[in-house]
Formats: sequence, structure tokens, C-alpha cells
Amino acid sequence: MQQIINFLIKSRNTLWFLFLLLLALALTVQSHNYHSNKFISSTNYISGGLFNARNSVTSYFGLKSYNKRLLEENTQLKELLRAFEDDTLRTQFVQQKQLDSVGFKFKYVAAQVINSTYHKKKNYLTLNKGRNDTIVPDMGVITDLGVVGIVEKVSGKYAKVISILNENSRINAQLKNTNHFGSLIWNGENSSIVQLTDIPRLAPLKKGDTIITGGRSTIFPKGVLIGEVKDFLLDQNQNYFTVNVKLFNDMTNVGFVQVIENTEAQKIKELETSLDE
Amino acid sequence: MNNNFIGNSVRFIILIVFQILVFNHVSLSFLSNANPYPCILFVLLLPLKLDKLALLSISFIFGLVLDMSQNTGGAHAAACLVLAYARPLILVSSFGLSYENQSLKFADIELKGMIVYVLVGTLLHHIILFSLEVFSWSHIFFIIKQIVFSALFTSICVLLFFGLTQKNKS
Repeated sequence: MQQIINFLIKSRNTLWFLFLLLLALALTVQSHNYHSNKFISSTNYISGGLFNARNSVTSYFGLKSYNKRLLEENTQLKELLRAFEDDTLRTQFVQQKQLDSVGFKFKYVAAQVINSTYHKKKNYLTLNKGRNDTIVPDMGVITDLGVVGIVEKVSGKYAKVISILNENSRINAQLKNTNHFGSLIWNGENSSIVQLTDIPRLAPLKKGDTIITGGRSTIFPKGVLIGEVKDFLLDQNQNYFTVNVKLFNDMTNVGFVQVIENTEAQKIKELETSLDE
Repeated sequence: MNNNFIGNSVRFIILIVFQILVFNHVSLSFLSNANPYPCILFVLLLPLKLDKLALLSISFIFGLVLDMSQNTGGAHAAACLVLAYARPLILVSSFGLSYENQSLKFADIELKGMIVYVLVGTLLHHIILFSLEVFSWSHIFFIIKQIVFSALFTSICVLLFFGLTQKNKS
């Protein structure tokens, strides 16, 4: 007994080192699994506050270009509204308030990106809105130009978003012209190019085709822009295409985003789990 | 002792704030986006006579705060911890006798020993950090590139800091 205690006292430094190392390794391994990073994240008060302080200065630098983008988006939306009004059939439809039963499934919350990375293999963004602004995990995040990522974790005031430039990210996407769909992943190489896999060989692909979200999940509505086809090649089995997609979004400079809330996500999930049982 | 404590606490805060606000946003695109981590200066400069348990614990907490800001789980904590644990060994190999008979002071140090100390420490820290941060064999080439370029970048930053703060002997 004496010997054991002596040993413990003598090598307490090494033991303490091993214990802390194990703790750090456990946290690391856990952080590499999607949806299980519970303890250490950038949604805490300290780093959130620091990011906010930095952002309150740097956000002024991009104002000119954001204004221009906002103007362009506004023009586009106005044109859309114009077309909508001209379409008398649809106007009647709206007037009869029948749209309630079909549309308005999605609500948007505007937020600002206060921290982001793009040159790692697993990139994340931090938003300045959190649970207090009705943001919960698994909501989609977009800009006017396209998809940005999916909310992974929220605290009261901040949200951590898993970027599409993250090897764990998987987003349902499809071709705009046809309905062939696949999943969007990132191979970790170029921050402006992502990969769309599992597109069947029959799909008529062309360089420059637009890729949009597929709407087969509760996260994004159908038709949110992603990017355009840069090039594509058949995989080893010669059955599916892997498509390199050039993003419309400049992921190195994401300033203002919208978080999408699917008001029926809860119902859909309940239904799916009840079917599984 | 008291003076030492305050100095190190101030360094803790300043280095973390600088790392998060400035150096995390510095990346050299022509060197495969190498990132500098001058924050390891804190671990390198902790008092030489500090108790080993305290040294390990403080370094661990320092790393954990960095992890919180970068969503890296525990990579920084592990890297800082290993650096702190290996520090006496690196000190002996870079300064030899003057460290062993406890006459070493960071304020007046020969340049050659300093360079070896910083280079070896940085390399060790970066090896752990980047392997844990990327954590995949398929990116081994990327990891090595990041380690080499970032270690160079960090060492230069740290050595520049030493050069600027060291008292002029003449």
C-alpha cells in the first residue's frame, strides 16, 4: 500500500498529464462526429462577445458591396412580384387565401455572421442570433446568392453553423432542369467548389447547369440556389456522376444571412419516427 | 512572485484576444493557407520554476479557451498540454547547463538557444495541433504541409516578439 501511494506521489505529474491528455483527446474525437459536439463550441459567452466586438468594427468595411447586393436582390424581387401580379390566376388564388394550405411553410430570420473559417477541413460559422431569436439546430442558413450551411448548435445569443465547406456536411441537391438529385459534399480542397455525388448516369448534364436544393429534407425549401456545374466525371462503377459545382456564394466573405425555419419540421419528424417504429 | 502572476495573467488574456481577433484571420494563401499561432508564446514563457502540476493545468486551460473560439474540440488543449509537458526536455536540450543549474532567465538569453527552443517547441505543438484538427489519414499530405509552413510562420512571429521585447544589452 505504501508503495502504491509513493508511486502515485512520485509520478503525479505524468499521471495528471495523461489524464488531461485523455480528456483533450476525448473532446477532439467527439468534435469530429456530426451532432455530438456538446461541450466545447464557439457559442459561448466569451468567444461570442469577442467575435461581436471584432465584427462591430469590420462589418463597416463591406457595407458598400452589401448595399449593392441588397439593391440587386430588391430589384429581382420586385420583378418577381410584378410577374406574380400579372398572373391573374395566381392572384385570384392568393385572394381566396388558399395559399395558406400550400405555402408559407418557411419563415426567415435575418442574422449576421460574426466569425467564419474557410481554409480548414471542417469549417464552421458563428451567427449573432440564437435560441432567443427562435433559432434551433437543423435549420438551414442561406444568403441571397445561395446555401451557406446548417445550424448545428445554439446558445441563448449565438448559433454555430456547419458550413457547406465541411467534410461532415451533407445537403440534398438536384439539377434545376430535371429532377435528378444527389447529395452535396465537400472534399476539402477548394473553398469555392463542392461536389455533388450520386447523380445517375442518365441525367442530361451540361457545363453551366444550375444546381439547386432538392427539398427532400425539412432543412431547405426546394429551389434555393447552390451553384453551377463546373465539370463532371463518372465514378468507378460507371453508374453515377460526381459533379464539381462552382458555388454562387463567395464563402470567404459571408456577411449577412437568413436562417430558415420550417414550421412543419416537427410534424414531419414525428411522422417519420412513428413510421420507423 | 506576485509580479510574475500578474504578468502571466495579462499575457494569457492578451495572447488569446490577439489570436482570436487578429491571427486567426491571417492566412498566407501562397503557402497553402498557413496560419500562425503565436499564442504558444504563453506556454513557452511560463515561469521556469513553476510547479509542474500548475504548468500542465494552466496550459490545458489556455488551450481549451482557444478551442472554444475555433470549434476544434480539444486539439489546442492537447497541443498546449504536450508542449508544457515536454518543455523541460526542450529547455535542457536547447540551453544545456544554464537551465540545469537554474541560472536561466528569459530576459537575457543567447540567440542560438532561443531559436532552437522556439523552433522545436513550435514544431511539436503544431504536429499535435494539426493532426488532431484534421484527424484523418487521407489528408496526411495536407497535414504535413500545414505543419511545416505554419511552424515556420509561427516561429518567425514568436522570435520577432523576442527580438522586440528583449532589453538591449549594450
